[in-house]
Amino acid sequence: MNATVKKISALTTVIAFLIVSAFYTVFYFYPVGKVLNYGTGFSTVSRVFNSSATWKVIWFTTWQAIVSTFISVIVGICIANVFTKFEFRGKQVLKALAIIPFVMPTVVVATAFISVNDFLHLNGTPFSLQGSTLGIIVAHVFFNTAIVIRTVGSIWPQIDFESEMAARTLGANSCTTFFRVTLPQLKTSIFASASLAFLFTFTSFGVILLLGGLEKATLETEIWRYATQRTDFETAATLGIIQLVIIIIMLAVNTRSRSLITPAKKSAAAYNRSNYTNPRLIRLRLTSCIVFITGFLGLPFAILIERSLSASNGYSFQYYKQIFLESSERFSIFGTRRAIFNSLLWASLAMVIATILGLLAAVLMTHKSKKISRSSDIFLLLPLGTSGVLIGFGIIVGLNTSILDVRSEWWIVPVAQSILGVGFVSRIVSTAITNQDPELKQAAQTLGAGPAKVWWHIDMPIVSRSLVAGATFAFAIAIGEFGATAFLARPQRPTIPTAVFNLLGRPGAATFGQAMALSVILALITATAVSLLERTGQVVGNEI
Amino acid sequence: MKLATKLTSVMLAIVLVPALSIACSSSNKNSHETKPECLDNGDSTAITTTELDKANASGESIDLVVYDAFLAPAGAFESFTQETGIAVNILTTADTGTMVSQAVLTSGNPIGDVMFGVDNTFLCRALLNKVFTPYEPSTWNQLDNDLKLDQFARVIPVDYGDICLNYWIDQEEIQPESIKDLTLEKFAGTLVVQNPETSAPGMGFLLASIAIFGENHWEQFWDDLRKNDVAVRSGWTEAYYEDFYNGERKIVTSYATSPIAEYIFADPPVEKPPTGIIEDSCFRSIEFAGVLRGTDSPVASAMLIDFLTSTYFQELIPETNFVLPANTHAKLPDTFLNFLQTDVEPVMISPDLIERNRNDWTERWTQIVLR
Repeated sequence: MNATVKKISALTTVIAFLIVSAFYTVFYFYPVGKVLNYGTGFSTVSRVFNSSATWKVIWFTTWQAIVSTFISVIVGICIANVFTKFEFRGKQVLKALAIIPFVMPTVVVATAFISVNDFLHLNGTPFSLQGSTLGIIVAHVFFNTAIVIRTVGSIWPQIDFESEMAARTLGANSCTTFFRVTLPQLKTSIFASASLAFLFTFTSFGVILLLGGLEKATLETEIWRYATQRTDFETAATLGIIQLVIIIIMLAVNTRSRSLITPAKKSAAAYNRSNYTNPRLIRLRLTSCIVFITGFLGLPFAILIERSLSASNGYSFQYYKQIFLESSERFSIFGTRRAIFNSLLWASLAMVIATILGLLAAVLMTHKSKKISRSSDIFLLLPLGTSGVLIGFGIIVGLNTSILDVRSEWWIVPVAQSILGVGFVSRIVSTAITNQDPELKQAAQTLGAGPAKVWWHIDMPIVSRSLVAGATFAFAIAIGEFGATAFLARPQRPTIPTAVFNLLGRPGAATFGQAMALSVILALITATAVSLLERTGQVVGNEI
Repeated sequence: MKLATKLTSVMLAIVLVPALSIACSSSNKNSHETKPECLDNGDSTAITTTELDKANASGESIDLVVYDAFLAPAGAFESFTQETGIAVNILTTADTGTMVSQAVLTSGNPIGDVMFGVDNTFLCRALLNKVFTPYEPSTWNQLDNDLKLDQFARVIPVDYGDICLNYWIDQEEIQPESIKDLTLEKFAGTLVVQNPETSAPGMGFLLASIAIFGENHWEQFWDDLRKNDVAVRSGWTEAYYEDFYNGERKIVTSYATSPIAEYIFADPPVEKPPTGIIEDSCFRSIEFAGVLRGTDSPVASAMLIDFLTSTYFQELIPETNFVLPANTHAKLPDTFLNFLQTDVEPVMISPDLIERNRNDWTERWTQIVLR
């Protein structure tokens, strides 16, 4: 019995390894390696390292990412706490809204931030969001809080609340309980979300460029500048190597420090909400959280809505009507209606690819052997920490052999998008798997359940929730068109972000209004898709 | 455990092998160290087409590489396909700089067959890296001679436009009449421009200032602008829609055709454009198309160049991409005839000179304006 189980699990590992590594090799390691090779020349490396500007850039990139991540994690935990522990009206809506920042085209968010700046009269004050490091950090927190909320939130309902209750009964105050009992149980998911948020802020591009300008240069914007504007691939690639090395170090530190914290006792027991009462504190926490979500995460979005509705003759749905109903010839080039359909189709495709591969990757990340789990932990997340320019350029130089030229195939866009999605799915799912109670599995095995049965009845319910969280991000990344896809040569096919880009690239009140309306539609589509996914996840989770 | 070690070493090998194996061959592919005159010699053989070749090209499928802001006029390429039997896939990249860099990276082994949109500021970079194969289109004699910067026909002018300062016409204040007015005190805090390193109009206006004030005085102009509180944004969209649109800044770097777009996309409809341009502030931008060297379909690609410069296509691009046709036989649409300001005297700088000095100029600009 035991031998068969071992055989099957070894076979699964090998198959997962083969598929995942083949995908990563072809679409990531090989192309990126080929581009990074431009940066290995001795003269370039020594020139880059001898420049004081390089060190300044490295320093700024790193510290802004650490600070942004830290704040995102704290804010995210607070919000996840409220979402886990309280039932209140509008919770699902708020939860879905929290992910919207993640998919908004950067140019739209940046303009929204600039108007928040004007709205609150921050220009010229130390709190100005434009051209300042503060603006970059605030925008990063705005974008990345959703990662923490979703990742931590997918684990929180499964932790052992009995020990929490016991601690409270024994006289620990809520603070002590949180730090000594709750936090240790959440640590895997906190470290997981922190590493994702760090990767995102470390390689963030649009926010830095639009809110900070080139004065606040990071490795990512410098790579972009050298590779695309100066056609100096040597310098860009050297900076790309530096970026990767720092990412690998940070991920290794993350993995290491995660295992340093002693694991708490785990149980899959569900939380009984009615037991937890402290009305005044609850109301305070709840209110402050709702105020924060609606205020901080909601304000830029509110401005967006306001703009999409403000037509020449007061507020109206005119721009929405133009998108859906009017077939005026002057707007036909933008293809806005087709863009909505295309975005849904392509993002779903990317999500499916990323979810399947992410699940396989999670098998590797949770392998018993620390060597396999730790190294795959780092390797699988590398695409998220690699410059989008270099991935895009890598695919363009790399994926062209005498046998086949796939650089401009239609499917290269969803594949490139899913490379980033795999990291998300695998990270979040593996967290859930590590977090589950091994005794439960052993008990089932002792009682005679085969591996498939164990997986379906024990692993699947736990995994499904996090799988949905991961899939959500894979979808969001794809529909928001992050990173590498902008630097590919892709078939001209309007998607919502490209249509917004093209509308915002032409002067005129009507183009601006439609761009705003289309951004709101993107937000609503994403929020709807996310809640649908969530519901499916819950149904699957409950059925089993 | 054994399995674990093996997998780890395979993973390591996957990352390191490509990096190390190519590391030995030095890769100094781009030639920005040595800078020959890019327009003086065209060394590759031109494409020639016969009627027979053209007939044989039917059924082929070719890729047209364009920058992200280009939008195909509705139905235009479909009619090319109907006429010739050649299918056209449009491949969109990012901005012009990115598109040219990608073409340099894949020079001789291109991602598509024809590239459209390289402008005079990036022209030499593409030519020095031998991105194109020469082809003189059947329309060559109809094209404006001033726009034919490359006599070897490696690139063919398709359209042109001017990057100019725009202002709101209905403002109460005195109108700016000249680029030189901008440093006057009464125009303090009224101008918003784009960073030349991140924006094409930003680069255009920097080049305009260099051409207008000369190598010795342009820095003084920007120093004065900075004292006059010029605002700098990363891109056209932020400058135009955040600062200019709400009236916070009354003058912005944009295009000579922007007032026409303001008219076409106005809401509600207006009788005439609400914005105007400062006529002596303009930099001429020319966009070229060329057959990418290494294409499998030279004849079909050449036919696409013929099409892009044909009067049919040339008459469609003004109202979709807000540029002017390079073909002198093409008629302008009514909106352009009515509202295009024609008394513009745009300046130009030779692509050679731009390529040689681009990095130096932007660095000096950054020192003056941003530091």
